[in-house]
Amino acid sequence: MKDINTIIQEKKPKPKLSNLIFAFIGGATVSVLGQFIMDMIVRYTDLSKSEAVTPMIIIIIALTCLLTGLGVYDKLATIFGAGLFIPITGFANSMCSSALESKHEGLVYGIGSNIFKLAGSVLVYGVVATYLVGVVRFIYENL
Amino acid sequence: MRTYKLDSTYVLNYATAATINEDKGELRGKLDTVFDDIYCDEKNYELAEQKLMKTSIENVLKKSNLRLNDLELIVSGDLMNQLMTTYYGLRHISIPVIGIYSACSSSALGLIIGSNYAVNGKKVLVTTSSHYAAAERQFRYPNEYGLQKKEVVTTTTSGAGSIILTSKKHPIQIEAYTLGVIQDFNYKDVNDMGGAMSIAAYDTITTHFKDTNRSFKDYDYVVTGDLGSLGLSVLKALFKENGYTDSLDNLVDLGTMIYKGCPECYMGGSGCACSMLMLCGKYLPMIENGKINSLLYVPTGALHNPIAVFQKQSIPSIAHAIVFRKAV
Repeated sequence: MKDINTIIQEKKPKPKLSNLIFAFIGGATVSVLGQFIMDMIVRYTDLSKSEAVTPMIIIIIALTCLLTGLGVYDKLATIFGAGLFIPITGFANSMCSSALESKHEGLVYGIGSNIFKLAGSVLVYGVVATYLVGVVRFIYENL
Repeated sequence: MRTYKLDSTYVLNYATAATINEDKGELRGKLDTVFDDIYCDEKNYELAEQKLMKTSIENVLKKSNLRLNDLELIVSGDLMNQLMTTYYGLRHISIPVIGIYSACSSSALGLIIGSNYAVNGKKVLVTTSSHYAAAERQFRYPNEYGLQKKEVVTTTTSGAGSIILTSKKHPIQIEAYTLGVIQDFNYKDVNDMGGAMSIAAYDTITTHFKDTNRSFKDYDYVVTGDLGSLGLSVLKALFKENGYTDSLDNLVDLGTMIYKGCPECYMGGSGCACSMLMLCGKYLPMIENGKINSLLYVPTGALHNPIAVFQKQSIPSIAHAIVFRKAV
């Protein structure tokens, strides 16, 4: 007689290969778009290539927030999965969606305290990792 | 013995309210009120759920030609923290309210509690509601958060159903009920509520059969609440593994049916309203019209708590069973 855990594992749908392919297409599209925006900035402004990174990221974030607000982003993310989740688009969407969701609880208790609900972990461990790398680099360069 | 017989509990009337999404599948054209969007003309999702609950209550009172003050009691359940829909939605009425939480099996628990008060001609209203966006927000992630959902998730139903119970004879009788026991087999996949709840449905159905000496062939339908297609197949496999040789053709799942033909709904519907809408929208009319005679109604509830899940606790579940029958 099989136990219930075995039965569930047998019946669970297997992960779809198409998810992998769509994630690749999604991620690639975001990357190509980012590169295109960056090239345009270098071409039509006085900014150098390394200076163009920041405005490019800002444009991608703005686009993501716009799509989130219009209710389109979550539908795209359902299709492209990790392809949109891993780039900065995922980070921007997590903040924007949390803010949108909390708007009825007001500016302070709603948006203010909830905007980093999902993105908070990324920031905390991003900063911690930066410190650790910084300390290692400091020791390496001064010894 | 976990099964209790009821001598004279009848369904006086029933009514529903839901949104456009529920009007597409199995319940198309069978709902009393359908709102065009999930806000239901309200400012936010929580108020929308309260509106759904109030609308279903208004509908059932209108259908049965009663006023609110004719009721003895309202038993109400929902999924929100502190039973927000129940207590905020019903705060301006002047009759007693019992708020209950039994996750998605609240409809059964409400009917069980209600039937014990619906004696000597008293009328008790039982209502449950749930709302997709409000539940998503509380239990999972923000609605606009772009997350690729797992294949095994179910979709919370937006809607509410209300049933008035009485002890005076009406076409639909509640004949007996079986109380559920909390089940837990250390299952931790928070996306797959159906799998977690299948054991509770199995336990309650088999206990009911043992207590009453009945089996699948004694009922026109045995319906589970919201296991979804995965949970239903696990439940069927459990029966087969444990040596049930009966045909399981009349064992169906309401969550699997409610969003029939909706690929974005994954494994099917869930939530307090899912089993209630299907009961009031499809099965009670079938009993009333004489299309079927008997129904074993087994809503299932995953009793998980988001904090407990983060603390790596497993998911307990429960199911209660109710026997509906054409009154003779």
